[in-house]
Amino acid sequence: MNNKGFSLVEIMTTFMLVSIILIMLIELLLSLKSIYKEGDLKTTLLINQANIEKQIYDDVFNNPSLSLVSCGENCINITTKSGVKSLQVTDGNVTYDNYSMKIASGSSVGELTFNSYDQTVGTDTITIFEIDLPITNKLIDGDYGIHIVAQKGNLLY
Amino acid sequence: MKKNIKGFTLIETLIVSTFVTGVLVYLFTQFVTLKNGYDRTLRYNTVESIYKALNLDRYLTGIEARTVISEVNKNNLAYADISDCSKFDSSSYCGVLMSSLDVKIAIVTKGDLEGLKAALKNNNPYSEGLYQFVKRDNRVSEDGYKLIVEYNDNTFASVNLSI
Repeated sequence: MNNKGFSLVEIMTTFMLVSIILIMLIELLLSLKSIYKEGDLKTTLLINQANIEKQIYDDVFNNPSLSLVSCGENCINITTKSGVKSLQVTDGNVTYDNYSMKIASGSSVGELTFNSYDQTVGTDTITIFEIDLPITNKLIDGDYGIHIVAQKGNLLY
Repeated sequence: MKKNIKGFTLIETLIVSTFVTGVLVYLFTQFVTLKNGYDRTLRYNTVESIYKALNLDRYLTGIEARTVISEVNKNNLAYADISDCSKFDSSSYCGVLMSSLDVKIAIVTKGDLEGLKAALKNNNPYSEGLYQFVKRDNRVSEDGYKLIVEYNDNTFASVNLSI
């Protein structure tokens, strides 16, 4: 009798085992790829946010002459210690003075808005300034835009 | 006639497959742990969260310094929760500022965090995320006070108060 070859049970068992391992490997690869892409995108968005917010905060934080004025759609003129600088959104870029940040591909940019309101504290008036520019991406949760809060008032200095 | 003994038996195949699968599963779980750690640290002390905390620091130092010091040192408490601003004379302004900064929890503690860590370990009234953030903060400012903030977008920051 010819005893070469495999029995049906052996083939089926082996095929099942190999299939399970292959499916697990493919799922692992796909999830690793997705994790890598998300991580890369999140890091890029956070670095962009950090860079431009630092630029703006260096000017608006602890600035006794701070004021915000609109200079058109998606444009704000910020009075700093060294003059007036513009924050604006144009054609996929966010620019602040000489610094320009390219918006990561696939991201959606909201409307650039600002607000200021006076609050009485004792006999002094303190003004709170807010600048908001939402930036979101369909691949990851969260808002990676610009959200600046600054205060101006004699009691704070 | 010699028996042909090339190839593997079923048991050998099963054992190797099980071993390889086990190693892959272990590697994957380690990777997921790393990824969760990475996601967690991306929320700690971001530029935005630190500047917002510094805004709060300016307010506390400029206007409510005495109240802050007195609250933290009251009855040897490890910390003072200032999230609801009820302890301050300027509570109205404080509330508006907290809302602008999107603050969920704000705690002032002594520069040495050990008291706060011990208090939260025994009884944590806050989120697990805040407890983990405090636990991982090893920067000690022995003299002075520290401000720890949790924001509504699940980010955290800690700064030394200028008091």
